Amino acid sequence: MLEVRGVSVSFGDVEILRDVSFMVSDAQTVALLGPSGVGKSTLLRVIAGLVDPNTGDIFINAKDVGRVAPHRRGVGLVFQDNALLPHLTVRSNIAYGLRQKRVPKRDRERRVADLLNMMRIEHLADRKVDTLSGGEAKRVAVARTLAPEPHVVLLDEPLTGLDSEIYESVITDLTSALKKSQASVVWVTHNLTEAKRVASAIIHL
Amino acid sequence: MVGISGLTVRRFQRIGLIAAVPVLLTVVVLILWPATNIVIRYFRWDHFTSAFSDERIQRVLWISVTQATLSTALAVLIGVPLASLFAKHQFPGKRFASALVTVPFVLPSVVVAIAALSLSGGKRPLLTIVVAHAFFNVAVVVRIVRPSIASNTTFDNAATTLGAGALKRLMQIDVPLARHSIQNAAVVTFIFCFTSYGVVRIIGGLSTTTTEVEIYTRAIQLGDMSTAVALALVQTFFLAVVTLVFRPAAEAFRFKPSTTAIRQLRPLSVVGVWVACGLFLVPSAVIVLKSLRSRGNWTTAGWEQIDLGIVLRSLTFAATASILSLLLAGLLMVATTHSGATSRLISAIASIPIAVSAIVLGVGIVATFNSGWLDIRGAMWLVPTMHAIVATPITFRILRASLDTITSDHRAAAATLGASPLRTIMTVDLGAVRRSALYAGIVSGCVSLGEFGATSVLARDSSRTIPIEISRLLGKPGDLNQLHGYALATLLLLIISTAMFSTGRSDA
Repeated sequence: MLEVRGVSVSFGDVEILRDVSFMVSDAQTVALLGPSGVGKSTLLRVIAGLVDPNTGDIFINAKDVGRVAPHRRGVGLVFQDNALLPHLTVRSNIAYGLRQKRVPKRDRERRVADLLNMMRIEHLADRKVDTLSGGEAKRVAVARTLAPEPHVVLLDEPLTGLDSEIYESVITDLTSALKKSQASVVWVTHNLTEAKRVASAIIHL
Repeated sequence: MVGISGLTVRRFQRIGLIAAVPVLLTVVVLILWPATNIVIRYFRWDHFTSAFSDERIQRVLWISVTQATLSTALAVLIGVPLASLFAKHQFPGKRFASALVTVPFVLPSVVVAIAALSLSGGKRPLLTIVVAHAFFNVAVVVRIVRPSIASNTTFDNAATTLGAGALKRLMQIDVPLARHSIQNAAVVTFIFCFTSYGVVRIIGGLSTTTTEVEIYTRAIQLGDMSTAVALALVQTFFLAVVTLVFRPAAEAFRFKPSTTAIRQLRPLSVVGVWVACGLFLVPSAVIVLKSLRSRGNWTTAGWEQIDLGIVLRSLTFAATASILSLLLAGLLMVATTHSGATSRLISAIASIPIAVSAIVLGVGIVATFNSGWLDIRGAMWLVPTMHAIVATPITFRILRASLDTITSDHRAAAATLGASPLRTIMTVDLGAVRRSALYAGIVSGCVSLGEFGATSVLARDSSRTIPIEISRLLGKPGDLNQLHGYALATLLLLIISTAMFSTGRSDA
């Protein structure tokens, strides 16, 4: 479960977020909706621990994680530009988080195989990430984020830039993978139809 | 993209600062301390002023400036059209042609110098020096200018459709848009030529010397440390001024290279390019020929003289220098990427080895660490360590270039996947540069194999390297010595070319 309580962020004189609060239960998806520049991505970074809020608190499973470093928070983030590690293959990108958790090799390989299958990218396993199309890269980014089984999954405009046919197939696989994960999900988008389709609650920023 | 949290930033900075410590210690102990020590011990103001009224010193300064200016002009005149050609055109054998032009930069100065000397027959030393320097530095110009021209090919295509010919496009599109890169390449080339030692010492002989050679002559052969220090100070000050005045701002126009703009070269032009690039093989061909011919006869006598001990020692030094240099460059990369506000200072201190010439480095060590437990002059690790210091700026640039693919989002992604700041640096930063580490290691090994300046001051009989042996043999009379020297030079050429071509990268 994720709780955001009274979060405000300013960079210098520019106020990005003011007193934002909401809750996301386990296995629930909440959409953050709003135009560009309204602070949606910043809010995700605050939840992940990548940006310090000026005021406010983040609770994960009822624990205040304000002083917990990003690598110990158990929050997965799908970046808007995917941020796949360019020197690793698809398989190694997906296994990255499992390696950090020192998951034994056999379990790691099984988990990676499951995710490759779930996101329908088995044929890409040994490809270099700079050879992937937009839709393929997004599938890899989602698989990588879900691999270490985070409590909270954040998605930063995951379907932006995909053409309509690929959009349909990615959104279907993505929502089913998220449902299986049982995580609390925050889905950032500027598309109202998409928000209504994927989330049980919508927060306007 | 906004910054990462204070908590994480501080942990990254701590790692950055820790990584800086060994690099800064190396610079302070092996460069700053010896350099400061010789200045304090030997600098005399009256000697300083009187040295510059000496006619010989005035001539040395005049020759230094003249040869560096002419060498730079020639390298730019040849390098810019070649850079434009490689950036905009496709032709059979382009990779090999590009390698022929860019590999000379890692060839040993001694080898190039003796080739140039053989070709000129010892006449017109100033011109020979200028041509030899241009031979090395066309590589620098092509390497720096090519990416910048490649990013402007869209304008080039537009100019073609408007009826501009090749020369007009070069002068009106490539040169103005890449002017900052050209200026940058010119500054780097000027500094290289001004501080060049091996080429000038071998070709110039006694008559045509530059400050760098004169510093060696005064300090090592004549024991006149005061004049050597005065010259070193003037040289460092002059080069600092040149760098500050002429260092360009960042490139004004930078677009993504458009691969669709690459055109096929016409067959006649291909032949022309091949002949031009083939000229870069001439010095090597001369060396090979001279190692096998004496008084009109073919012979392998020179090759039979080769002492494998020296070859093995040079290779061991190169391997050691290469590992040390990778270590220093890797630490420096981590330090400058993550130490926040202090990274500029660390970067400035770490670039001191570029500003202090190899001869001054060597002289500083000899004059400072010469007694009691501090006497390290005979230590076997000294020569490879100095080679590593000389090679580190290049190693650092190669590693740094491949770190450009990593953004703060990649590090943030690693953090959200459970990697601590240290793990992030190990798996993301160092992971990304791993692919170019082998290449950087080979380049630094080649720099070590060819290093002549610092080695000629520091090497003893037990630590003589191939370039030192070549210079010693060619300085002695007798056909066998000459054949032996040229055979060693050919072997060195073979080792370095094989190493460079094996990397499969033509952008040395």
